[in-house]
Amino acid sequence: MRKVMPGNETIAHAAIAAGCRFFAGYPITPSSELAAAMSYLLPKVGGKFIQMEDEIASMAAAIGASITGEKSMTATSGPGFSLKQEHIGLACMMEVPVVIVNVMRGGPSTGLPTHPAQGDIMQARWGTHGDHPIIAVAPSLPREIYLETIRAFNLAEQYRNPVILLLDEILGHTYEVVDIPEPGEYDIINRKLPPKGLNRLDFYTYQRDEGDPPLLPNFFMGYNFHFESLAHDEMGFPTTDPEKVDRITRLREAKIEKNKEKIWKNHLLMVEDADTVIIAIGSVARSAIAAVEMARKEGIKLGLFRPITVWPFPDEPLREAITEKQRVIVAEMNLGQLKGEVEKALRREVEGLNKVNGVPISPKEILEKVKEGK
Amino acid sequence: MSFHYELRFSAIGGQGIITAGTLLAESVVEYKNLYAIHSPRYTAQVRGGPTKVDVIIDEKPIYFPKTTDVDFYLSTSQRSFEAYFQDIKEGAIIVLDSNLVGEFNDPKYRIYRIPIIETAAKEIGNIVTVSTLSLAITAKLTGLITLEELEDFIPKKVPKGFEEINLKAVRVGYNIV
Repeated sequence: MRKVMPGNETIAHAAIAAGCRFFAGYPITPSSELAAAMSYLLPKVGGKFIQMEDEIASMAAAIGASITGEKSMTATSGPGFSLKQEHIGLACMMEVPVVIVNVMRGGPSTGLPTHPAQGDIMQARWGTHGDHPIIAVAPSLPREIYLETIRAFNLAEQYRNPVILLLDEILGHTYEVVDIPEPGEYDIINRKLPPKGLNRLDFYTYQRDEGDPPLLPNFFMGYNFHFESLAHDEMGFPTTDPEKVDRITRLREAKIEKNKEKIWKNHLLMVEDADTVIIAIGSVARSAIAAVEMARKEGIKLGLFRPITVWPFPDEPLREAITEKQRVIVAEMNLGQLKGEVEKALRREVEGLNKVNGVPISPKEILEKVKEGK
Repeated sequence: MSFHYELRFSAIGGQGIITAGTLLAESVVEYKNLYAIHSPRYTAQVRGGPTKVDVIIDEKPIYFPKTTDVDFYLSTSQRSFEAYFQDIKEGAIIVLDSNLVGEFNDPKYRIYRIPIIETAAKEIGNIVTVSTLSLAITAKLTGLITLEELEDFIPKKVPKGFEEINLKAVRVGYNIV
């Protein structure tokens, strides 16, 4: 089916298709259309929409709903994303699947509500305190926004972890043609649950093999169990035992680290023979696709490496795809957040094309930077 | 070069011009099997502030969703007209509300002055038809969509009970140019 709609609405439709049945949010530009769409779509499928009193409560409500077994989501932008961070940490700690959409706008603080930016790449990774696992995906194209939303839910369920869906104002607000995939064209993954009827005294909710998510029950399955924000043992009860704390912290990290090859997703466009490779995500990557097309027509060998999974950062795929000889330019609407990660991955300095004025990076600007030479 | 056309509609928030852009994008997707993108822009002051919507129409998927060479510009407000007068191509069609935008002469453009808001309020009889009227004017001047297609499209898009008056707006818009 073909539909003209903005990215924010595409996410709402995709979330419903993924099985999302709960949304709690607080209106914030440029993500509000997503909450609006959920408010009329969810009741039609027996789901619940709540406009909460603030961003913090929205995050808490989304976690609560997920604990009962519903796939749940919240959406926000920079300032709201900052407010949600404490509870994002709670979801990481308790290992609760939840999808958080952040439609990025100019910051810091209330910044540029109606203009695009990509300044929350690091906040998506390290916004909440402490060592914690996180997954963030950043789609660029309309059908991809739909499919990546479904994948965000799948990843959240599969690894029992918060997943951040990163967009920016351009993607959230631009109305465009979406070729909506049919249900058979994507997988739906639901969280694994423990079998019913286990003896609860033998049942350690957070016990698992390294690399696996825990087999936690949902509420109302008949088990008494403990969700805890403090460092906890494998039964979920608070502990300060150094050995137990160390073990569970590393187990949480391992479920993403050990599976990162399955979580990574990159789009490579004419990288192999390229003299220069652009690295970009989100709406900037779209300008880069157009720039590659323009460059190739002029005989300039330009390529694009576009991480769709931003966290865990695709360091190994980058090292595999990009040779020492290739010139690398990271184009982003911030002052070099992605560039730092690329340099870490490639173990060398690369160039940046950065804009922080609320105006998108155009294909022409990318091409000019390429032609400018080092 | 394949078919590529850029349009801009600017107004004061609440006038209904953003809707005209939305309807145009949807109609070319539905009837012409083209790709279309439209991106609205408002300031923090949504109602009463200058707003615009850019529409891009292309045969192929559109990667960069912003206008760079505008072929058609319609405005119903002096302030917005000036605020968003950028990237207008030489030879572009410019449509101005003759009551709300002052004298503007430049041989580089094809300029039309039409009392859009007044026509909607008085001749058609309801100011809410500004969107449909602007869409019809745009359709006539650009040839992007035919009268018959608009007559089929508009009744499906407007609230129940407003079909007739919007069809009237379609016809008035087509004939006013």
